[in-house]
Amino acid sequence: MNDNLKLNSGDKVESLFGCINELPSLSPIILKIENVMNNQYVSVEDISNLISTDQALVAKILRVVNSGFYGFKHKISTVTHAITIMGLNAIKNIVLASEVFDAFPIKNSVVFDRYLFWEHCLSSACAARAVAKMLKMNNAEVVFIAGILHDIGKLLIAKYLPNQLNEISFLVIAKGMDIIDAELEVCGVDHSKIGEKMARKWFFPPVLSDIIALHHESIENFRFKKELACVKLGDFFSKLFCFGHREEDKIRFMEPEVWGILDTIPDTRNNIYRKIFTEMLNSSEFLNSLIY
Amino acid sequence: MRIVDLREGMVLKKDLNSPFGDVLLKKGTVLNNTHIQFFKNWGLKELDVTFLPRNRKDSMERQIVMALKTLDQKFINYKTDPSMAQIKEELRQFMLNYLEEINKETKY
Repeated sequence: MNDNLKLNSGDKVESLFGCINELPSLSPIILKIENVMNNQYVSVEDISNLISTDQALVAKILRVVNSGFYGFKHKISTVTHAITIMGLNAIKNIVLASEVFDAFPIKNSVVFDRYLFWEHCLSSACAARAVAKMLKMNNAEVVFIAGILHDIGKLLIAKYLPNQLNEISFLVIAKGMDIIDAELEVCGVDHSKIGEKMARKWFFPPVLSDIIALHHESIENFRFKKELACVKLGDFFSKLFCFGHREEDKIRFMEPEVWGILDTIPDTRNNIYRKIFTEMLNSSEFLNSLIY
Repeated sequence: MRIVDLREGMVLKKDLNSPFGDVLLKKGTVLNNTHIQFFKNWGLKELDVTFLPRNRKDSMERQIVMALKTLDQKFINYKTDPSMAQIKEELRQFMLNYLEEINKETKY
């Protein structure tokens, strides 16, 4: 029964993707960077040479690095300098975020507000990273990027299935339906499965595609438990503090297990909330440097 | 605060007077880049401004007020769940405290 159900939803994803003639492709530079970074003898120069082959990317990196989000005192004018200051992983994340951002040039419409969407993604990413840092996890940057990408399925729906999106928004806004139920009713699959498919196509590392696929499900028996818990918390706080959401959006159930992860942080709750909140405020500056 | 540390969006704490005593900028003025360039040209060294840039404080306040207003609505599906109720109250307390703190910090 269960297997049947899975197959069924997989088929539906396939058939949905069948309607789409041309999926966006990520710029090959990301794969190249990924490959180069796996080589342990790589030098900063190699990477900056690689990035410099794409002038638009250079401009974008410098804009993000010089934005208020990072708050460096001096102007950073070369990619090499940016890498030295921020570290390779952070640069990789900026590249990934900006490429994904560019892969979906969607116009604003009544049913899809591009700015709100990204505000949600970035604020939950910042919150998730804040939690990860407080937990002293060593892959906080991965959590950050997972937070940015967790709702990528929604982008795909907005870009390629506009009619379905209209129906979904109608169900959500007029009838007060939960967005996942609405997506299931209209498309047969929800945005997490669509996002997963996209992530696999783009060869994202397993931790990312798994988090994208499961970010609305229980964290039990999941190999990247902590990472997923952080992303879920990020999602929760972003919604709670009204970042990138309509005011009437409701929060989802918080599993005690996920919430309990906050107990393992050696700090008072108030301080934890405060840190998460201020991190989320910073996210809007990052967003502005990506957009403009 | 030193002129080199001024940023756009900060707020003047006192009236800014010329050497002859007339008011050049009223207190509460939100500084923009033109102002800051002028200060540099005039050779000013220091200036009293509020610590929190105003737009950041405003957005903090706006966000928390909105969150407080919609808190009950957001948890409406979990009225009977004790763990969710506890989370909700804890967060409400945090928001109230924080709001008070922000307002205290910027009162002069």
